[in-house]
Amino acid sequence: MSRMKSKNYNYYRWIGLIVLLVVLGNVVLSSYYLKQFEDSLIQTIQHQGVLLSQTLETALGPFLNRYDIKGLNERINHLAEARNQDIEINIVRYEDHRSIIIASNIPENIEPASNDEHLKLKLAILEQKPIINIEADHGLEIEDPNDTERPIQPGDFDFHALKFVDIMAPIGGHGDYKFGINIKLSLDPLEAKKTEMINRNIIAMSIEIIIILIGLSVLTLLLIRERSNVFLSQSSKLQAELKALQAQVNPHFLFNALNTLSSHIKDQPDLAEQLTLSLSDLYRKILSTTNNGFWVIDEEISLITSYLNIESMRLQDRLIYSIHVDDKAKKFKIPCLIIFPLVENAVKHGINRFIKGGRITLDIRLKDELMISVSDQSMVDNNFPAAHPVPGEKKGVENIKRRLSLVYGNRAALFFQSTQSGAQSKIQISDILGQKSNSW
Amino acid sequence: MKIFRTILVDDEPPARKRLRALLTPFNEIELIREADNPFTCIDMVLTLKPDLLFLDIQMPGLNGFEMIRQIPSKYLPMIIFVTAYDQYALKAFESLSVDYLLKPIRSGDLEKAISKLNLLEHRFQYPESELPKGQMSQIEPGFLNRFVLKYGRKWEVVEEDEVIYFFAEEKYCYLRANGKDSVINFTLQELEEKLDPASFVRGHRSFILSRRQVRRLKSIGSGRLEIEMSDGTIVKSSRSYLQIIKNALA
Repeated sequence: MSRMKSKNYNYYRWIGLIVLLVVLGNVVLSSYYLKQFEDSLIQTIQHQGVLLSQTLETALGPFLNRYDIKGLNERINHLAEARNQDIEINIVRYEDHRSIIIASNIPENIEPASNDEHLKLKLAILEQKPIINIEADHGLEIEDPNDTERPIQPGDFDFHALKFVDIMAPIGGHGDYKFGINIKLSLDPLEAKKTEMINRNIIAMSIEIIIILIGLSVLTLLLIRERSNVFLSQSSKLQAELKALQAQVNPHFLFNALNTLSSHIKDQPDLAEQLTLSLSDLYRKILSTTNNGFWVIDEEISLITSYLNIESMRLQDRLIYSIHVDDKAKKFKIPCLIIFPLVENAVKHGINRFIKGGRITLDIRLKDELMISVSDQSMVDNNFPAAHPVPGEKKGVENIKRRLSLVYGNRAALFFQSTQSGAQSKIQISDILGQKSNSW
Repeated sequence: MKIFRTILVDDEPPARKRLRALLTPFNEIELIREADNPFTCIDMVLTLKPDLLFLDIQMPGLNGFEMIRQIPSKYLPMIIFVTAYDQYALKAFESLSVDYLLKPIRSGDLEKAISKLNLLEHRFQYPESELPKGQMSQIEPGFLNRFVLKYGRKWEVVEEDEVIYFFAEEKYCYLRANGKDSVINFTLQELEEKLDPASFVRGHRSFILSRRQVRRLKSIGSGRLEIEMSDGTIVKSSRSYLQIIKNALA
């Protein structure tokens, strides 16, 4: 389990890193787009400004020079048509450079002064600055002989009344009255441009978000798949190990048991029946282990009991066995067939080799940890030497070790020790609280 | 009809019971004894000299193959192996046993084995097949590398690498190991055939030495050698074995 946890932890770390990268990338991209948008807006505005300045010079220049106010409307209309946008030019009258009276249409009755030739129009404003910022920046520079040398500043006017004013251009007037033109350039194309830019940005952002979402979900899916793969591979490993073990059930055992059975059938049918039942119990149990690889200790004990029962019918007084299981350990879940091979081994090494046989003791205790002990104690007969220890078929033991480590990591251990007249194998599973809540 | 005096050996009482029951109908089989372990069985074979042995392969102490290696050729009866699982079948086939039976034994198989037995016995009656039954001592191709010794009622098994040497004295043959001499049932001649030549060498007319136990060689003139063994015993070889020993120990 701990191994799996740390693996997941790694995955989370990677996912975190990737998300961070995506967000960072997004921020960079967004600011790039924003910058582009700004640049493009500024460009547009500049472009518009240049256009306007040209327009004003070409369209209004002659008029301003000749004060041909009558032709103004026409020209402006013409201009607006050519530019395909609304240009509204109003003639405004202002007094003392302080207040402005707006004449909403070009009045027919205005007669421009013929001696205002000194008035020159400069459209300095149009050079660099966005129109929107006109209020904060330059006004128009006007050389007015009647007034001071001071140019008219935007602050000079009541701009509340000039809400939509884009450019104020004083064009002169009689005596106290001065006239200017108020050219109102419709911002629609700009707005459109802006909207378009924003839309583009929004689309870009949405695409990005979608990409991020897709990326995240793909990652999540991958993670989930990975996790389930880890789980699957682990559980399938466990299954494979279990299968291997099932296949390893000693064929000698079966044939010996059948032989015992055949010897009892005629004259001891009761024994034969008992043996048949034990044998079928045993194999049914072994085959039922495939479900999920786990069962409660009670089930393993019943398997072991069947086994020892069968073996003791064969070996008769050569095999004595005792089993003790703590009551609270009986319902404890363990991987299937984790004790049985140890009992098989004990019979093989501790009983079969000895002419007088011996005793098998299975002891399972549950306190702070689960302790399973299988020991054999041979009846040493001084008259007969024992067979050599069978060179270890380690497969069974290795199998148990592998499965223990798959399930419990380093919380479980299997160890062996020799005793005075036999051997003992022990499985120790610690941290059992964690295991109890383990669903598989 | 030839009556086969038969011994059966199996450590499992139910298995003996089963075989005993199956053998009852066969009149040519006279079951003289049963053994529940290979050591007792060796004793029975040597003393009762049966014609036939039903031999379980998996037994405590010695397996069936190891057991028959302990029996000198002239005492070897005909053998029918009995095994629960045919992992040994091939080995049993390789041997010159009469047959092998799988547990649980079918009476049909037993019948076949016994008729085969009759056939073989019949063949042995021809004078030209001077083949003693003992020829079946090649029943198992492995070397004799464990030695079963009996002291009164007590049995011991001595491993090949514990043996210092074998020697013949008067009409008995002895094995020296673990500081004592024990009678064994083989002649030096038989031993020479059965022992692994990589481990043992005939050093004298009446000695077979374990190569790994030779500590020192000393020439004592006129082509004779004094051989000091690891337990301090000194064996004097005769001229005729000089070259053999020198080659063997080189």
